[in-house]
Amino acid sequence: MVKNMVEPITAIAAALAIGISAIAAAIAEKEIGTAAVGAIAENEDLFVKGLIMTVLPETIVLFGFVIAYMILGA
Amino acid sequence: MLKPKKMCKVTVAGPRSIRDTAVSFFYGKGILHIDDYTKPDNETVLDIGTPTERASELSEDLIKLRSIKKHLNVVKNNGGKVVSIDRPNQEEISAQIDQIDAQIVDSIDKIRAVNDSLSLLKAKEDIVAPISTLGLDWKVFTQYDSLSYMVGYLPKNVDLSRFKKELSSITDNVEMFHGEYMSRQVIALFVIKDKADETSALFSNNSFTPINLKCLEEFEGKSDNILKTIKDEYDHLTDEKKRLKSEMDALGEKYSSFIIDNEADFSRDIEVGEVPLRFAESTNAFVIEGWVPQDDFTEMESELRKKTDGKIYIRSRKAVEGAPVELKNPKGIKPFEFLIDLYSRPSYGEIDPTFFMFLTFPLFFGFMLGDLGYGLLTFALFFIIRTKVKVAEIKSVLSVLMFASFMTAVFGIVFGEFFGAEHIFGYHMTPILHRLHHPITLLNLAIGMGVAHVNMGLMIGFYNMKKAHGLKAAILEKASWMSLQVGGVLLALGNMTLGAAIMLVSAIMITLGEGLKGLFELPSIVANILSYSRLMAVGLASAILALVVNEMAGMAFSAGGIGLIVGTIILLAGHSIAIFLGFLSPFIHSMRLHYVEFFMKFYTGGGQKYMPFGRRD
Repeated sequence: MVKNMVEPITAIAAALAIGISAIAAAIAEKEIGTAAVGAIAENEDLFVKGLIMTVLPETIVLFGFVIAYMILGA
Repeated sequence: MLKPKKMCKVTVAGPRSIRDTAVSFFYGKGILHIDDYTKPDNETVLDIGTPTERASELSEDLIKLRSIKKHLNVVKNNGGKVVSIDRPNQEEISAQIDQIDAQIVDSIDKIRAVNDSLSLLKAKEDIVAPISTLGLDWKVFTQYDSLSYMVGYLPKNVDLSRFKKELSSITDNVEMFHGEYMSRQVIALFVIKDKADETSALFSNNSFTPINLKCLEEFEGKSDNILKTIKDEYDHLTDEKKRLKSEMDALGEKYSSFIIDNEADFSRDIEVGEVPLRFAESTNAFVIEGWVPQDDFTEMESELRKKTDGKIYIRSRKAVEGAPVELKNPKGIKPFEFLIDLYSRPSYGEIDPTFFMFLTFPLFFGFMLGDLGYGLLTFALFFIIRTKVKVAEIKSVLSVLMFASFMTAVFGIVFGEFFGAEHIFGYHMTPILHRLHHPITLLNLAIGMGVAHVNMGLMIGFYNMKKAHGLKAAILEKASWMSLQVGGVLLALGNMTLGAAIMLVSAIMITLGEGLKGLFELPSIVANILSYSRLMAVGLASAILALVVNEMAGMAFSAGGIGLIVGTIILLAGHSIAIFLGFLSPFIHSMRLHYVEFFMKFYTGGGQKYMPFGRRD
């Protein structure tokens, strides 16, 4: 497996890449999710729109994830 | 399959004498989607149509019927079958409804009266029961010349001996009785009138709560006996209430099919009778505007002419936009229309993406969950649930989930996973692609699917754009994004000059097509494609989750003894959670990839659902 081969600093770099981007996504989703739940409470038809808007920032984590993989793979 | 049903706009006009004939014709046909008429401000001739008199009469009966239905708790459904559209004995039915209504009102009044008496008795009991603990005859509570008395509760924490001492410091001419009821102290105190004020001051200092005896002057004798009288009457009334209730139930049983059948029947007749409110009428004529599927128009036209002896004007125009949208997909694909409607119905004239969703939604889902065991188990589960439910929408969701389960099983074979393990009851599965050993291959596959999916979206967008705004717009706004990717690939492969040149041209085209906004959004294509890496990420997470469950259970099993039980519980609970999460998260992610990455490339949506007048589902 990969774990025996990576330098500690590389592992930390990969962890930071995914960790920080996950926190960023969480902050973004927190704001959107709050608003979305409020909107859905007013009008249930907005459920799908709310859901989509809420999961939009997840892409940020994925960027971090891809970068982490690239760091580990390099 | 890729296009909604073709519609044509229809205008029907005729003299009012044949209006009802035309309306019942359309109702029977169930193909005309009526455009509601809104009267313009400056319109003087055409007004909104008037409903038939019969409709308003029926409305009254329907309201009565529904109130009866509610009171009798009739919930049985006759499945919406048509009983009789033509009802010559409407008067009889009305009379019967009135009669049932009267019966029910009578019963309800009686029940209410009984309920009132019951609560009154309860209140009396609440007074008599505590006093009965004092063991006094009721006649001591009467008017005295020289005596005054108080009955009530003292708080639990009041020390009675201290209280008596304080009392004796006021007067000796006093008699106190006490008992206990529901862990409260009940006190009856008789005192000479002169000292009444002083003693009552003492009482209120000790938070005394008086009991009002005024309403109980009718009673006589020992309070135990009084209590018994009250209880007897209470039981008697409770029986009476039960009897009345069962009478109501019997009524409900007796008339339930009458109520249900007539309710369905009335609703339909009212729908027919009130439909003139949706079209235009002048003093002598009516005009209906609406939409009919193109294939049905000719037949409908000739039938209507025959029905009305040709006294009718019918015109049709080809629909361009704004027509209601009826999706037409083969039966197997139809459930996926649910996922489309969840987002928005396609607008008229644009490509219906249901088929594409049918292709890629289960694919993405299966790629993420990918486990033979989960797939087979959930497929069976959804199949069983699907046979039990009746609601069409839930059925659709379950069908979609069954497709998803099927692809999960298929990818389970590809990845060689069975409930997270690599073997089925001892038989080793050889994975075609091992997810944990070759994550980079998995990632490349995911990105590859993303490239294919996004470009599929762009191609559909190209078609839609070409249809709506011409080839030039299609090239500038859709093809340019594809060439941008080609440029990017060339650049990555090392062909700097050509790659950069193609990207530059593409960027200019995008700017021309979409304006500056497009220029700023150039990196979004990379984001869109990278977004598909979630296919791999969510997939790895679900694979590892299953693996962890198995390892934990394995550890418990190897401990032996009680570990066997613990291991079984871990296995069952763990895989249940893994399946639940394994469905929730791939479902949402797969949906998102379609709604955000895919639909944004071509989809307009906002179409109006085709809901023809008189259609019975």
